[in-house]
Amino acid sequence: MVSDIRQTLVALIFSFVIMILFLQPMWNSSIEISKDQVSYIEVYVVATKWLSENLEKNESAVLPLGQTFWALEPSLKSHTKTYEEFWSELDVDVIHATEDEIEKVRDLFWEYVLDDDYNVKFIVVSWNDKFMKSALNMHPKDLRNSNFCEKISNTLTEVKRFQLVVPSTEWNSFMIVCQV
Amino acid sequence: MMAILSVIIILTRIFFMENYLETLIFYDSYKFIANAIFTDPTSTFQGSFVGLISLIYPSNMEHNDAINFLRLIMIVFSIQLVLSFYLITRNFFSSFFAFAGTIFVSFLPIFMLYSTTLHNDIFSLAMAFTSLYITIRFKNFKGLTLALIFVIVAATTRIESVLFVLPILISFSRYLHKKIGIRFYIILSTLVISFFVTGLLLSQEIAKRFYYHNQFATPIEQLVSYLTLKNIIMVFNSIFYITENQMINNLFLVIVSVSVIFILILNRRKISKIFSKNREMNDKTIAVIYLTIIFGFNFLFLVGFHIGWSYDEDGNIVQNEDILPRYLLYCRILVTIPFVFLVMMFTSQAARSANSVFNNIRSVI
Repeated sequence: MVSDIRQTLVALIFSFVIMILFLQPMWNSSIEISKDQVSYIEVYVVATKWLSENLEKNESAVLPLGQTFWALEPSLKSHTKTYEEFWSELDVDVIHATEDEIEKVRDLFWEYVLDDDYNVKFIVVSWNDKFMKSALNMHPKDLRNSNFCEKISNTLTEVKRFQLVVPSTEWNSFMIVCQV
Repeated sequence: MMAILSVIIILTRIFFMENYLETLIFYDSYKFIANAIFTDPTSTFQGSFVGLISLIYPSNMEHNDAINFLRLIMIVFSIQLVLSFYLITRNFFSSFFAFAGTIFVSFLPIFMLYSTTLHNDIFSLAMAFTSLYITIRFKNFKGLTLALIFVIVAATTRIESVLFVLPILISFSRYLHKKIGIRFYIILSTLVISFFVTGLLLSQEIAKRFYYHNQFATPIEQLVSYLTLKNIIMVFNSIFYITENQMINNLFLVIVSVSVIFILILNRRKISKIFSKNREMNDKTIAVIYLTIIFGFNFLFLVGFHIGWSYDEDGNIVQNEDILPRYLLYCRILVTIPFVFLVMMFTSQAARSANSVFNNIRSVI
Protein backbone atom coordinates (compact mmCIF):
# COMPACT_ATOMS: atom_id res chain seq x y z
CA MET A 1 0.00 0.00 0.00
CA VAL A 2 2.75 2.43 1.08
CA SER A 3 4.75 1.27 -1.93
CA ASP A 4 1.82 2.06 -4.29
CA ILE A 5 1.38 5.53 -2.84
CA ARG A 6 5.10 6.17 -3.16
CA GLN A 7 5.07 4.98 -6.76
CA THR A 8 2.12 7.21 -7.61
CA LEU A 9 3.81 10.14 -5.92
CA VAL A 10 7.00 9.70 -7.93
CA ALA A 11 4.94 9.38 -11.15
CA LEU A 12 3.13 12.60 -10.26
CA ILE A 13 6.39 14.46 -9.63
CA PHE A 14 7.90 13.23 -12.91
CA SER A 15 4.80 14.19 -14.87
CA PHE A 16 4.69 17.56 -13.19
CA VAL A 17 8.33 18.26 -14.12
CA ILE A 18 7.76 17.27 -17.77
CA MET A 19 4.60 19.35 -17.95
CA ILE A 20 6.33 22.43 -16.53
CA LEU A 21 9.18 21.94 -19.00
CA PHE A 22 6.67 22.39 -21.84
CA LEU A 23 3.94 24.56 -20.34
CA GLN A 24 6.21 27.41 -19.35
CA PRO A 25 7.62 28.02 -22.89
CA MET A 26 4.14 27.54 -24.34
CA TRP A 27 2.73 30.19 -22.03
CA ASN A 28 5.63 32.54 -22.88
CA SER A 29 5.07 31.96 -26.60
CA SER A 30 1.37 32.77 -26.22
CA ILE A 31 2.32 36.09 -24.63
CA GLU A 32 4.95 36.83 -27.27
CA ILE A 33 2.64 36.07 -30.21
CA SER A 34 -0.19 38.02 -28.62
CA LYS A 35 2.03 41.10 -28.27
CA ASP A 36 2.83 40.96 -31.98
CA GLN A 37 -0.80 40.50 -32.96
CA VAL A 38 -1.99 43.26 -30.64
CA SER A 39 0.48 45.67 -32.25
CA TYR A 40 -1.23 45.24 -35.65
CA ILE A 41 -4.73 45.68 -34.25
CA GLU A 42 -3.82 48.51 -31.88
CA VAL A 43 -3.19 50.76 -34.89
CA TYR A 44 -6.73 50.08 -36.10
CA VAL A 45 -8.14 50.71 -32.63
CA VAL A 46 -6.43 54.11 -32.34
CA ALA A 47 -7.27 55.06 -35.94
CA THR A 48 -10.93 54.13 -35.46
CA LYS A 49 -11.13 56.36 -32.40
CA TRP A 50 -9.47 59.21 -34.28
CA LEU A 51 -11.78 58.82 -37.28
CA SER A 52 -14.95 58.72 -35.21
CA GLU A 53 -13.85 61.96 -33.54
CA ASN A 54 -12.85 63.71 -36.76
CA LEU A 55 -15.42 62.53 -39.29
CA GLU A 56 -18.77 64.30 -39.23
CA LYS A 57 -21.98 62.44 -40.05
CA ASN A 58 -22.29 64.15 -43.43
CA GLU A 59 -18.67 63.34 -44.38
CA SER A 60 -17.34 60.05 -45.63
CA ALA A 61 -14.07 58.12 -45.81
CA VAL A 62 -12.55 55.18 -47.67
CA LEU A 63 -11.10 52.50 -45.40
CA PRO A 64 -8.74 49.52 -45.71
CA LEU A 65 -10.20 46.33 -44.18
CA GLY A 66 -13.31 48.35 -43.43
CA GLN A 67 -14.94 45.60 -41.42
CA THR A 68 -12.26 46.02 -38.75
CA PHE A 69 -13.23 49.69 -38.36
CA TRP A 70 -16.94 48.87 -38.40
CA ALA A 71 -16.62 46.15 -35.79
CA LEU A 72 -14.71 48.56 -33.56
CA GLU A 73 -17.14 51.44 -34.15
CA PRO A 74 -20.41 50.38 -35.82
CA SER A 75 -21.53 54.00 -36.38
CA LEU A 76 -18.78 54.38 -39.03
CA LYS A 77 -20.49 51.85 -41.30
CA SER A 78 -23.14 54.28 -42.55
CA HIS A 79 -20.70 56.87 -43.88
CA THR A 80 -17.57 54.97 -44.91
CA LYS A 81 -16.70 52.71 -47.79
CA THR A 82 -14.08 50.00 -48.24
CA TYR A 83 -11.61 49.70 -51.11
CA GLU A 84 -13.03 46.25 -51.74
CA GLU A 85 -16.41 47.74 -52.63
CA PHE A 86 -14.98 49.40 -55.76
CA TRP A 87 -13.81 46.01 -57.00
CA SER A 88 -17.13 44.38 -56.16
CA GLU A 89 -19.11 47.10 -57.92
CA LEU A 90 -17.29 46.30 -61.16
CA ASP A 91 -17.20 42.58 -60.36
CA VAL A 92 -13.42 42.47 -60.79
CA ASP A 93 -11.30 39.81 -59.07
CA VAL A 94 -8.35 41.71 -57.59
CA ILE A 95 -5.91 38.79 -57.96
CA HIS A 96 -6.63 38.01 -61.59
CA ALA A 97 -7.55 41.49 -62.82
CA THR A 98 -6.27 42.64 -66.21
CA GLU A 99 -4.61 46.03 -66.64
CA ASP A 100 -7.84 47.34 -68.23
CA GLU A 101 -9.95 46.17 -65.30
CA ILE A 102 -7.54 47.68 -62.78
CA GLU A 103 -7.69 50.96 -64.66
CA LYS A 104 -11.49 50.92 -64.54
CA VAL A 105 -11.45 50.32 -60.78
CA ARG A 106 -8.98 53.19 -60.30
CA ASP A 107 -11.19 55.50 -62.37
CA LEU A 108 -14.24 54.54 -60.33
CA PHE A 109 -12.31 55.07 -57.10
CA TRP A 110 -11.08 58.56 -58.01
CA GLU A 111 -14.49 59.58 -59.41
CA TYR A 112 -16.00 58.66 -56.05
CA VAL A 113 -13.30 60.37 -53.99
CA LEU A 114 -13.43 63.62 -55.98
CA ASP A 115 -17.21 63.75 -56.39
CA ASP A 116 -18.58 66.53 -54.15
CA ASP A 117 -21.86 64.65 -53.72
CA TYR A 118 -20.15 61.95 -51.66
CA ASN A 119 -18.24 64.47 -49.59
CA VAL A 120 -15.20 62.22 -49.07
CA LYS A 121 -13.03 63.83 -46.42
CA PHE A 122 -10.43 61.12 -45.76
CA ILE A 123 -8.89 58.16 -47.46
CA VAL A 124 -7.12 55.85 -45.02
CA VAL A 125 -4.16 53.81 -46.20
CA SER A 126 -2.52 50.87 -44.43
CA TRP A 127 -0.06 48.06 -45.11
CA ASN A 128 -2.45 45.17 -45.48
CA ASP A 129 -5.34 45.62 -47.89
CA LYS A 130 -4.79 44.08 -51.32
CA PHE A 131 -7.76 45.99 -52.79
CA MET A 132 -6.27 49.26 -51.60
CA LYS A 133 -2.75 48.51 -52.86
CA SER A 134 -4.00 47.86 -56.36
CA ALA A 135 -6.52 50.70 -56.42
CA LEU A 136 -3.91 53.24 -55.31
CA ASN A 137 -1.10 51.60 -57.28
CA MET A 138 1.13 51.56 -54.22
CA HIS A 139 3.51 49.27 -52.33
CA PRO A 140 3.47 49.03 -48.50
CA LYS A 141 7.04 50.34 -48.35
CA ASP A 142 5.73 53.63 -49.89
CA LEU A 143 4.04 54.28 -46.55
CA ARG A 144 7.47 55.19 -45.14
CA ASN A 145 7.64 58.25 -47.44
CA SER A 146 6.99 61.45 -45.57
CA ASN A 147 4.88 62.87 -48.42
CA PHE A 148 3.00 59.68 -49.21
CA CYS A 149 -0.41 61.30 -49.73
CA GLU A 150 0.92 63.97 -52.05
CA LYS A 151 2.68 61.31 -54.12
CA ILE A 152 -0.55 59.36 -54.56
CA SER A 153 -2.40 62.45 -55.75
CA ASN A 154 -1.90 66.17 -55.52
CA THR A 155 -5.48 66.44 -54.24
CA LEU A 156 -4.47 64.69 -51.00
CA THR A 157 -2.75 65.98 -47.87
CA GLU A 158 -1.52 63.91 -44.96
CA VAL A 159 -3.34 64.76 -41.73
CA LYS A 160 -2.50 61.85 -39.46
CA ARG A 161 0.01 59.00 -39.27
CA PHE A 162 -0.24 56.01 -36.91
CA GLN A 163 2.86 53.91 -36.47
CA LEU A 164 3.01 50.12 -36.24
CA VAL A 165 6.03 48.42 -34.68
CA VAL A 166 5.92 44.64 -34.32
CA PRO A 167 7.73 43.88 -31.02
CA SER A 168 9.40 40.58 -31.94
CA THR A 169 10.79 41.62 -35.35
CA GLU A 170 10.74 45.41 -35.00
CA TRP A 171 9.16 45.51 -38.45
CA ASN A 172 7.38 48.80 -38.80
CA SER A 173 4.89 50.47 -41.04
CA PHE A 174 2.21 53.14 -40.93
CA MET A 175 -1.46 53.75 -41.29
CA ILE A 176 -1.87 57.14 -42.93
CA VAL A 177 -4.94 59.33 -43.14
CA CYS A 178 -5.00 61.53 -46.22
CA GLN A 179 -7.42 64.42 -46.39
CA VAL A 180 -9.07 65.11 -49.74
CA MET B 1 -11.44 16.02 -13.37
CA MET B 2 -13.81 17.55 -15.91
CA ALA B 3 -14.88 20.24 -13.48
CA ILE B 4 -11.24 21.05 -12.71
CA LEU B 5 -10.44 21.23 -16.43
CA SER B 6 -13.35 23.61 -16.99
CA VAL B 7 -12.22 25.85 -14.15
CA ILE B 8 -8.63 25.86 -15.46
CA ILE B 9 -9.82 26.84 -18.93
CA ILE B 10 -12.01 29.63 -17.59
CA LEU B 11 -9.30 31.02 -15.30
CA THR B 12 -6.43 30.85 -17.82
CA ARG B 13 -8.51 32.41 -20.60
CA ILE B 14 -9.86 35.22 -18.45
CA PHE B 15 -6.38 35.88 -17.02
CA PHE B 16 -4.91 35.95 -20.53
CA MET B 17 -7.62 38.25 -21.85
CA GLU B 18 -7.31 40.62 -18.91
CA ASN B 19 -3.53 40.88 -19.09
CA TYR B 20 -2.51 40.41 -22.71
CA LEU B 21 -5.49 40.61 -25.02
CA GLU B 22 -7.73 43.50 -24.23
CA THR B 23 -8.74 43.69 -27.88
CA LEU B 24 -9.54 41.00 -30.42
CA ILE B 25 -6.33 40.24 -32.26
CA PHE B 26 -7.22 38.80 -35.62
CA TYR B 27 -8.78 40.66 -38.55
CA ASP B 28 -11.08 37.69 -39.09
CA SER B 29 -12.65 38.29 -35.69
CA TYR B 30 -13.64 41.81 -36.73
CA LYS B 31 -14.95 40.50 -40.04
CA PHE B 32 -17.14 37.99 -38.20
CA ILE B 33 -18.54 40.69 -35.91
CA ALA B 34 -19.20 43.08 -38.79
CA ASN B 35 -20.87 40.28 -40.75
CA ALA B 36 -22.94 39.31 -37.75
CA ILE B 37 -24.09 42.87 -37.08
CA PHE B 38 -24.52 44.27 -40.58
CA THR B 39 -25.23 41.44 -42.99
CA ASP B 40 -27.45 38.46 -43.30
CA PRO B 41 -25.44 35.78 -41.44
CA THR B 42 -26.84 32.97 -43.58
CA SER B 43 -25.39 34.60 -46.70
CA THR B 44 -21.79 34.31 -45.52
CA PHE B 45 -19.42 31.39 -45.77
CA GLN B 46 -18.77 31.49 -42.02
CA GLY B 47 -22.27 30.03 -41.74
CA SER B 48 -23.12 28.67 -38.35
CA PHE B 49 -20.49 30.64 -36.42
CA VAL B 50 -21.50 34.08 -37.71
CA GLY B 51 -25.13 33.01 -37.34
CA LEU B 52 -24.43 32.16 -33.70
CA ILE B 53 -22.72 35.51 -33.03
CA SER B 54 -25.60 37.29 -34.68
CA LEU B 55 -28.06 35.36 -32.54
CA ILE B 56 -26.39 35.94 -29.18
CA TYR B 57 -25.07 39.49 -29.81
CA PRO B 58 -26.59 41.45 -26.91
CA SER B 59 -27.82 44.57 -28.73
CA ASN B 60 -29.00 46.13 -25.47
CA MET B 61 -25.38 46.38 -24.22
CA GLU B 62 -22.77 48.97 -25.12
CA HIS B 63 -20.84 47.68 -28.19
CA ASN B 64 -17.48 47.01 -26.46
CA ASP B 65 -19.21 45.28 -23.54
CA ALA B 66 -21.17 43.20 -26.05
CA ILE B 67 -17.93 42.06 -27.71
CA ASN B 68 -16.41 41.16 -24.33
CA PHE B 69 -19.59 39.27 -23.50
CA LEU B 70 -19.26 37.31 -26.76
CA ARG B 71 -15.61 36.52 -25.99
CA LEU B 72 -16.61 35.12 -22.61
CA ILE B 73 -19.34 33.04 -24.23
CA MET B 74 -16.77 31.67 -26.70
CA ILE B 75 -14.78 30.24 -23.77
CA VAL B 76 -17.62 27.72 -23.51
CA PHE B 77 -16.49 26.21 -26.82
CA SER B 78 -12.91 25.93 -25.54
CA ILE B 79 -14.29 24.02 -22.57
CA GLN B 80 -16.33 21.84 -24.93
CA LEU B 81 -13.18 21.12 -26.95
CA VAL B 82 -10.96 20.17 -24.01
CA LEU B 83 -13.66 18.03 -22.40
CA SER B 84 -14.25 16.17 -25.68
CA PHE B 85 -10.51 15.66 -26.00
CA TYR B 86 -10.30 14.48 -22.39
CA LEU B 87 -13.13 11.99 -22.89
CA ILE B 88 -11.56 10.66 -26.10
CA THR B 89 -8.15 10.22 -24.44
CA ARG B 90 -9.78 8.42 -21.50
CA ASN B 91 -9.99 5.49 -23.92
CA PHE B 92 -6.19 5.17 -23.78
CA PHE B 93 -5.05 6.72 -20.53
CA SER B 94 -5.89 6.80 -16.83
CA SER B 95 -7.79 9.87 -15.72
CA PHE B 96 -4.55 11.44 -14.48
CA PHE B 97 -2.68 11.15 -17.78
CA ALA B 98 -5.76 12.10 -19.81
CA PHE B 99 -6.02 15.15 -17.58
CA ALA B 100 -2.31 16.00 -18.04
CA GLY B 101 -2.61 15.62 -21.83
CA THR B 102 -5.67 17.85 -21.91
CA ILE B 103 -3.88 20.51 -19.88
CA PHE B 104 -1.03 20.31 -22.40
CA VAL B 105 -3.47 20.84 -25.27
CA SER B 106 -5.16 23.73 -23.51
CA PHE B 107 -1.81 25.54 -23.22
CA LEU B 108 -0.88 25.22 -26.90
CA PRO B 109 -0.21 28.86 -27.84
CA ILE B 110 -2.43 28.82 -30.91
CA PHE B 111 -5.28 27.33 -28.91
CA MET B 112 -4.73 29.91 -26.17
CA LEU B 113 -4.80 32.80 -28.66
CA TYR B 114 -7.77 31.63 -30.70
CA SER B 115 -9.83 30.75 -27.67
CA THR B 116 -9.47 34.23 -26.22
CA THR B 117 -10.36 36.10 -29.36
CA LEU B 118 -13.57 35.71 -31.32
CA HIS B 119 -12.77 33.15 -33.97
CA ASN B 120 -14.54 30.29 -35.70
CA ASP B 121 -11.65 27.80 -35.46
CA ILE B 122 -12.17 26.79 -31.84
CA PHE B 123 -15.93 26.63 -32.38
CA SER B 124 -15.43 24.30 -35.31
CA LEU B 125 -12.84 22.15 -33.50
CA ALA B 126 -15.13 21.84 -30.48
CA MET B 127 -18.01 20.61 -32.63
CA ALA B 128 -15.77 18.21 -34.57
CA PHE B 129 -14.16 16.64 -31.50
CA THR B 130 -17.54 16.35 -29.77
CA SER B 131 -18.77 14.50 -32.84
CA LEU B 132 -15.76 12.18 -32.65
CA TYR B 133 -16.37 11.45 -28.99
CA ILE B 134 -20.02 10.63 -29.66
CA THR B 135 -19.04 8.41 -32.60
CA ILE B 136 -16.65 6.40 -30.42
CA ARG B 137 -18.93 6.24 -27.38
CA PHE B 138 -22.39 5.73 -28.86
CA LYS B 139 -22.57 3.34 -31.76
CA ASN B 140 -26.34 3.28 -32.22
CA PHE B 141 -28.38 5.14 -34.83
CA LYS B 142 -29.36 8.01 -32.51
CA GLY B 143 -25.75 8.55 -31.41
CA LEU B 144 -24.45 8.58 -34.97
CA THR B 145 -27.17 11.01 -36.06
CA LEU B 146 -26.20 13.33 -33.23
CA ALA B 147 -22.52 13.02 -34.22
CA LEU B 148 -23.45 13.87 -37.81
CA ILE B 149 -25.28 17.02 -36.67
CA PHE B 150 -22.15 18.16 -34.83
CA VAL B 151 -20.03 17.53 -37.94
CA ILE B 152 -22.44 19.52 -40.12
CA VAL B 153 -22.23 22.46 -37.70
CA ALA B 154 -18.43 22.18 -37.69
CA ALA B 155 -18.15 21.85 -41.47
CA THR B 156 -20.36 24.85 -42.18
CA THR B 157 -17.81 26.81 -40.16
CA ARG B 158 -14.57 25.23 -41.37
CA ILE B 159 -14.88 22.99 -44.39
CA GLU B 160 -12.09 20.55 -43.46
CA SER B 161 -14.08 19.48 -40.38
CA VAL B 162 -16.12 17.45 -42.84
CA LEU B 163 -13.36 14.81 -42.50
CA PHE B 164 -14.91 13.89 -39.16
CA VAL B 165 -17.70 12.28 -41.18
CA LEU B 166 -15.33 9.38 -41.98
CA PRO B 167 -15.48 7.86 -38.46
CA ILE B 168 -19.26 8.22 -38.56
CA LEU B 169 -19.36 6.32 -41.86
CA ILE B 170 -17.22 3.53 -40.39
CA SER B 171 -19.41 3.29 -37.29
CA PHE B 172 -22.55 3.42 -39.40
CA SER B 173 -21.23 0.61 -41.61
CA ARG B 174 -20.57 -1.50 -38.52
CA TYR B 175 -24.06 -0.69 -37.26
CA LEU B 176 -25.68 -1.67 -40.57
CA HIS B 177 -23.54 -4.81 -40.78
CA LYS B 178 -24.85 -5.94 -37.40
CA LYS B 179 -28.46 -4.96 -38.17
CA ILE B 180 -28.94 -6.25 -41.71
CA GLY B 181 -26.00 -8.59 -42.18
CA ILE B 182 -24.49 -7.10 -45.35
CA ARG B 183 -20.70 -7.35 -45.37
CA PHE B 184 -19.02 -4.49 -43.54
CA TYR B 185 -16.51 -3.60 -46.26
CA ILE B 186 -19.20 -3.47 -48.99
CA ILE B 187 -21.25 -0.97 -46.96
CA LEU B 188 -18.19 1.03 -45.97
CA SER B 189 -16.71 1.30 -49.45
CA THR B 190 -20.12 2.32 -50.88
CA LEU B 191 -20.55 5.01 -48.23
CA VAL B 192 -16.97 6.32 -48.47
CA ILE B 193 -17.00 6.46 -52.28
CA SER B 194 -20.40 8.23 -52.23
CA PHE B 195 -19.06 10.66 -49.63
CA PHE B 196 -15.96 11.58 -51.63
CA VAL B 197 -17.78 11.85 -54.97
CA THR B 198 -20.59 13.98 -53.49
CA GLY B 199 -18.11 16.01 -51.50
CA LEU B 200 -15.98 16.66 -54.53
CA LEU B 201 -18.94 17.79 -56.61
CA LEU B 202 -20.41 19.97 -53.88
CA SER B 203 -17.11 21.46 -52.80
CA GLN B 204 -16.00 22.42 -56.30
CA GLU B 205 -17.37 25.96 -55.99
CA ILE B 206 -16.35 26.42 -52.37
CA ALA B 207 -12.88 25.09 -53.10
CA LYS B 208 -12.53 27.34 -56.12
CA ARG B 209 -13.25 30.32 -53.95
CA PHE B 210 -11.29 29.46 -50.86
CA TYR B 211 -8.82 26.65 -51.26
CA TYR B 212 -7.18 26.83 -54.63
CA HIS B 213 -6.33 29.37 -57.21
CA ASN B 214 -7.12 29.37 -60.91
CA GLN B 215 -3.88 27.62 -61.78
CA PHE B 216 -5.67 24.32 -61.17
CA ALA B 217 -8.91 23.09 -62.67
CA THR B 218 -9.96 20.90 -59.74
CA PRO B 219 -9.06 20.44 -56.06
CA ILE B 220 -7.64 17.00 -56.88
CA GLU B 221 -5.26 18.57 -59.40
CA GLN B 222 -4.01 21.00 -56.78
CA LEU B 223 -3.66 18.23 -54.19
CA VAL B 224 -1.58 16.10 -56.56
CA SER B 225 0.56 19.07 -57.51
CA TYR B 226 1.21 20.15 -53.91
CA LEU B 227 1.85 16.65 -52.60
CA THR B 228 5.63 16.80 -52.84
CA LEU B 229 8.21 15.53 -50.36
CA LYS B 230 9.33 19.09 -49.69
CA ASN B 231 5.80 20.19 -48.77
CA ILE B 232 5.15 17.09 -46.69
CA ILE B 233 8.33 17.72 -44.66
CA MET B 234 7.49 21.40 -44.29
CA VAL B 235 3.97 20.68 -42.98
CA PHE B 236 5.23 17.87 -40.75
CA ASN B 237 7.84 20.14 -39.14
CA SER B 238 5.30 22.95 -38.76
CA ILE B 239 3.03 20.70 -36.69
CA PHE B 240 5.75 20.47 -34.06
CA TYR B 241 6.54 24.18 -34.03
CA ILE B 242 4.48 24.64 -30.86
CA THR B 243 6.55 27.36 -29.18
CA GLU B 244 9.06 30.04 -30.10
CA ASN B 245 11.71 27.89 -28.39
CA GLN B 246 13.20 25.56 -31.02
CA MET B 247 14.75 23.24 -28.44
CA ILE B 248 11.34 22.54 -26.92
CA ASN B 249 9.86 22.03 -30.39
CA ASN B 250 12.58 19.51 -31.26
CA LEU B 251 12.06 17.71 -27.97
CA PHE B 252 8.34 17.51 -28.70
CA LEU B 253 9.05 16.11 -32.17
CA VAL B 254 11.47 13.51 -30.79
CA ILE B 255 9.08 12.39 -28.03
CA VAL B 256 6.15 12.04 -30.45
CA SER B 257 8.26 10.17 -33.02
CA VAL B 258 9.71 7.76 -30.47
CA SER B 259 6.25 7.24 -29.03
CA VAL B 260 4.70 6.40 -32.42
CA ILE B 261 7.49 3.85 -33.02
CA PHE B 262 6.85 2.34 -29.56
CA ILE B 263 3.10 2.20 -30.18
CA LEU B 264 3.62 0.45 -33.53
CA ILE B 265 6.06 -2.09 -32.05
CA LEU B 266 3.97 -2.81 -28.96
CA ASN B 267 0.78 -3.22 -30.99
CA ARG B 268 2.14 -4.93 -34.11
CA ARG B 269 0.00 -8.05 -33.57
CA LYS B 270 -3.18 -6.05 -33.00
CA ILE B 271 -2.47 -3.93 -36.09
CA SER B 272 -2.07 -6.99 -38.29
CA LYS B 273 -5.44 -8.28 -37.09
CA ILE B 274 -7.40 -5.04 -37.64
CA PHE B 275 -8.50 -6.04 -41.14
CA SER B 276 -9.30 -9.64 -40.25
CA LYS B 277 -12.88 -10.87 -40.60
CA ASN B 278 -15.41 -10.58 -37.76
CA ARG B 279 -12.90 -8.90 -35.52
CA GLU B 280 -14.61 -7.28 -32.56
CA MET B 281 -12.88 -4.04 -31.69
CA ASN B 282 -12.99 -2.31 -28.33
CA ASP B 283 -13.43 1.45 -27.91
CA LYS B 284 -9.67 1.92 -27.54
CA THR B 285 -8.88 0.31 -30.90
CA ILE B 286 -11.76 2.14 -32.58
CA ALA B 287 -10.54 5.46 -31.17
CA VAL B 288 -6.99 4.83 -32.41
CA ILE B 289 -8.25 4.00 -35.91
CA TYR B 290 -10.49 7.07 -36.07
CA LEU B 291 -7.81 9.42 -34.78
CA THR B 292 -5.27 8.01 -37.25
CA ILE B 293 -7.71 8.44 -40.15
CA ILE B 294 -8.49 12.03 -39.14
CA PHE B 295 -4.82 12.86 -38.69
CA GLY B 296 -3.95 11.34 -42.08
CA PHE B 297 -6.67 13.11 -44.03
CA ASN B 298 -6.14 16.38 -42.20
CA PHE B 299 -2.44 16.18 -43.01
CA LEU B 300 -3.27 15.66 -46.69
CA PHE B 301 -5.65 18.61 -46.54
CA LEU B 302 -2.93 20.80 -45.03
CA VAL B 303 -0.43 19.90 -47.72
CA GLY B 304 -2.94 20.22 -50.55
CA PHE B 305 -4.89 23.31 -49.61
CA HIS B 306 -3.31 25.29 -46.81
CA ILE B 307 0.22 26.04 -47.92
CA GLY B 308 0.43 29.74 -48.58
CA TRP B 309 1.10 31.11 -52.06
CA SER B 310 1.69 34.46 -53.68
CA TYR B 311 2.46 35.97 -57.07
CA ASP B 312 5.95 36.89 -58.16
CA GLU B 313 6.71 40.02 -60.18
CA ASP B 314 5.83 38.22 -63.44
CA GLY B 315 2.48 37.14 -62.10
CA ASN B 316 3.49 33.50 -61.64
CA ILE B 317 2.21 31.60 -58.65
CA VAL B 318 4.91 30.95 -56.06
CA GLN B 319 4.48 28.62 -53.11
CA ASN B 320 5.36 30.09 -49.74
CA GLU B 321 7.50 28.23 -47.29
CA ASP B 322 4.96 28.40 -44.52
CA ILE B 323 1.49 27.49 -43.39
CA LEU B 324 -0.79 29.49 -41.13
CA PRO B 325 -0.46 28.00 -37.61
CA ARG B 326 -4.19 27.96 -37.00
CA TYR B 327 -4.67 25.40 -39.75
CA LEU B 328 -2.31 23.09 -37.87
CA LEU B 329 -4.39 22.98 -34.72
CA TYR B 330 -6.19 19.70 -35.54
CA CYS B 331 -2.90 17.89 -36.10
CA ARG B 332 -1.19 19.53 -33.12
CA ILE B 333 -3.97 18.39 -30.82
CA LEU B 334 -3.83 14.86 -32.21
CA VAL B 335 -0.04 14.44 -31.87
CA THR B 336 -0.41 15.25 -28.19
CA ILE B 337 -1.81 11.74 -27.70
CA PRO B 338 1.43 9.87 -28.57
CA PHE B 339 3.31 12.52 -26.60
CA VAL B 340 1.30 11.73 -23.48
CA PHE B 341 1.69 8.01 -24.14
CA LEU B 342 5.49 8.19 -23.93
CA VAL B 343 5.39 10.51 -20.93
CA MET B 344 3.10 7.99 -19.25
CA MET B 345 5.44 5.08 -20.05
CA PHE B 346 8.46 7.04 -18.89
CA THR B 347 6.94 8.25 -15.62
CA SER B 348 5.48 4.85 -14.77
CA GLN B 349 8.83 3.19 -15.38
CA ALA B 350 10.66 5.93 -13.47
CA ALA B 351 8.26 5.53 -10.55
CA ARG B 352 8.77 1.76 -10.46
CA SER B 353 12.55 2.20 -10.60
CA ALA B 354 12.51 4.85 -7.89
CA ASN B 355 10.40 2.60 -5.73
CA SER B 356 12.73 -0.37 -6.14
CA VAL B 357 15.77 1.84 -5.43
CA PHE B 358 14.03 3.06 -2.28
CA ASN B 359 13.26 -0.53 -1.21
CA ASN B 360 16.87 -1.58 -1.83
CA ILE B 361 18.22 1.30 0.21
CA ARG B 362 15.83 0.46 3.03
CA SER B 363 16.82 -3.22 3.02
CA VAL B 364 20.52 -2.28 3.11
CA ILE B 365 19.93 0.06 6.05
